Amino acid sequence: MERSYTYLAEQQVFHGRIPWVMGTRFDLLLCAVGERPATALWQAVCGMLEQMDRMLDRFNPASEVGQLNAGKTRHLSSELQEVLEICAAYWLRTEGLFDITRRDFTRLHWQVGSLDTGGVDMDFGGIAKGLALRQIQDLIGRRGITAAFADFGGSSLLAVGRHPYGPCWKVSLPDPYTGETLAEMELKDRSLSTSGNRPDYSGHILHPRDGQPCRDRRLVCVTAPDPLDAEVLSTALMLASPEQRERLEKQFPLAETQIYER
Amino acid sequence: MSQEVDLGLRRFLKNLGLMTGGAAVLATAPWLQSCKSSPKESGTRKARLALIGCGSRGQYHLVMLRGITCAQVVALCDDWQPNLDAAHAMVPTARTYTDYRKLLEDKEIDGVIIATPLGFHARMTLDAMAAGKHVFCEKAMALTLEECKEVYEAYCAGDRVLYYCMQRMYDEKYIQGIRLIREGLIGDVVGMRCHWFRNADWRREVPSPELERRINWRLYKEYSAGLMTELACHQLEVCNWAADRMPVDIVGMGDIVYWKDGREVYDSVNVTYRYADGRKICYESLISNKFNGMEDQILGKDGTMDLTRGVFYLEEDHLNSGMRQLLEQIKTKTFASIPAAGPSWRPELRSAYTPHPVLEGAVSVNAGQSMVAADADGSDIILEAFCKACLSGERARSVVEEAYCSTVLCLLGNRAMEEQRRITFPEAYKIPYMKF
Repeated sequence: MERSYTYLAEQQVFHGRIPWVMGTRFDLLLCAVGERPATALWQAVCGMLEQMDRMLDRFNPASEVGQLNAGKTRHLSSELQEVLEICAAYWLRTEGLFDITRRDFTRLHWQVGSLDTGGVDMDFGGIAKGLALRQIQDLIGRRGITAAFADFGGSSLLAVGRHPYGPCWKVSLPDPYTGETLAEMELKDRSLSTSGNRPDYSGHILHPRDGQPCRDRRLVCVTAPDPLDAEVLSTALMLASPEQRERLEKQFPLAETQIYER
Repeated sequence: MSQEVDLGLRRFLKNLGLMTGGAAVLATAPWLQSCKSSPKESGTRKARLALIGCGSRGQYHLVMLRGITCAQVVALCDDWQPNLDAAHAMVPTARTYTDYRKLLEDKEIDGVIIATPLGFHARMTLDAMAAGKHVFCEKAMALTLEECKEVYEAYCAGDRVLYYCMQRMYDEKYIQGIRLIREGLIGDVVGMRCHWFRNADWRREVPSPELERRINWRLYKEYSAGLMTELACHQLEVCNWAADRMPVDIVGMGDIVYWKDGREVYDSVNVTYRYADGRKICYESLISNKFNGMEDQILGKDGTMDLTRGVFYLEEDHLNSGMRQLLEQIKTKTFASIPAAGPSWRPELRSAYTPHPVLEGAVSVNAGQSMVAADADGSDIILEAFCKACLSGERARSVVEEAYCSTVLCLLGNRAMEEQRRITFPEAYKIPYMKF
C-alpha cells in the first residue's frame, strides 16, 4: 500500500496520505502533536487499513471476503465475524435497507469459525469506511490526541476536536449537479457521511428489495458522533421511503440527516 | 519600446532567480549561464548585425532588434528584392546586399542572423563562421544529416558563437516546467505526447508561376523537410530535454492527406520515437484540422506537465480536496469551511483534472497557428542573448548540441516515413553530447 506523510513542525501538524485504499484516497490530519507520536499512530492506522482491505475487499480474490464469495472457503475469521455481527445489528435497525448482501441478509449463516453464504455475495462498501473511521476514532482517543481530521475521498469524514484556528471543523456540501453549496456543517467530535448519485456516476447503490439500482437524483448527508452510524444511515436513507425515513431518524436519535432531491 | 524589450532579458533572468544564483535553473537550462555573465569590455559598444533573409521571420527579428539596446543592424541581404526593400524601409541606415557572400566580406559585421529557407541554413552558417562572423540561425539546423554533422564539426573546431532559434529553451514556462519535472513533481517520466495541428495550406501568394518554389519553399524537398523541421523540431528538443536522453528507434507514417496541390512534403505525420528504456514520444502533426492545436505534454507517473500552457495536472489531485485546503488554512492560520468532495468515488476523467500554473501571474500561451512568430515565446530573449554573446564572444552551452539532436531526429523521422521502416539511430550521427 503506497503511503506518505509530511510533518509541519512549526504548526505541530501531521498529514498522512494513502492515495488508494478501500476504493478511494485517505488523508489523516493530526494537530498539536509531536512528530514521533504522530508517526507511531500513523503506522498503526496504516496497519489497520491494510488488514481491513485484506479482509473486506471483494474485488480482491485473495481477500477473505473474496474467498468466501467465490465459495473457495467457509472459514470465518473472528474479525470478520465481529463485522458480520455489526452488519446484522444495522440490518435490523434499518429495517433491512442496509444489507451487505444487497439481496437477502437472512441467507447468511455463521457460527464461530465458519460461514455459509447461502449463494449470495457480500459487499462491505457501504460500511467499511465507517468501520475504519471508528477504529481511527478509538486509536486517536486512546493516544490522547485532541484534534484530528480523517477523510476518505471527501465522502466519509471524521472530525475530532476543533480546527487549530477555529471553534470546530467546518465542511460545505456541494451539489453534485450544479456545484452550488447546499449546506455548511460545523463538526466537532462528529463524523459525516454522504451518499448519492451524481451526473456522471449513478446507480451504484442497489435496493435489497429487488436488486435494482437506485437512480434517484438524491443526495444524503448524515452527521453523527459514531462514524458507523453515519456511514450506514447515509446508504439506508438513499433507499428509504418517507415513512421509513421518519422511523430511521427515531432509531438514530444522535444523527442529523439531510436529504436533497435534485 | 527600446527600454521595454531590453528589460525583457533582465526581467527574464530575474524571474528565473538567476540574478541571485538559481543553481536549480542553471542545472535545468545550462545555456542560461552565458546570459548571466555580462560582457566586460562592451560598455556602450553595440553588436553590429546583418540579417540574411528578409522575409516575414527576418522582419520579425528586425522588430525585436529595435528594442535591444546593445544591437545595431548594419546590413541586410536578400535576393528577393521586395523583401529586401521592405527590410530596408525598416532599417534605412543598413547597407544592402543581394549575395550573402559579399555581405560576409564586410569587416564591419560582428554577427549574422540567418532567416532563410532551411535548404540554405548549413551553407550560410558554415560560410559565415568561416568568415569570422558569429551566427544566429533559424531552426532547423540543416536540410540533411550530412550537413548537420558538417556544421556541428565546424562549430566544434572553431570559436565563433552559434545560436539556433530554439526559443522554447529560453521560454520561462518551459524552463520552470522542466525544472519541476527534474524535481520529481510529476514522478517518473513515462512518456511524451506532442502534437501540432493547424488548418491552413502553408502557402504564400505567388506573383508569377516561376517563383512558386522560391516563395513556397516549405512545400518542396529541395528547400524544406516539411512539418518535421518546421514544427516538430521545437517539440522533439523539449522531449529530449525532459527525458535527458535521446531516442534509439524511430517509426512513422507520413502522407499528403488533404493539400494535394503539387507539394512534395507531407501534410500529415505520425512518428513514434522510442527511448532505450521503452518510453516513447508520440508525435503528430496535421495541417487540415486545428481542433487539437499545439501541445507539448510530458507524462509522469504522478502527473502531466503541459509545457505549452505552463500548467501541470496531478494524477491524484489534492488541490480540490478538503484536505489540501485544510493544510493551506493551517499554514496561513485561517479558518474556513472545506468542501466535502461529494458522495462516492468516481472514475477520473480528463475533464476532472485541475490545471495548476507553473509560473505566477499571466502566462503567454502560443496557440501555434502563426507561420511567423508568437509573442513572448522566448524568441526575443534568445535573440538578445545572441546580441550580448556577439560582444562577449561567449558561447552558450548546449544550444548547438540541442539543435543538432532535434534536427537529426526530425530528419530521421522523415527517413522512417519515406522508407516505411523502423530506423535505429545511426552511429555515424551520434555526438558525445548524446545520452541514450
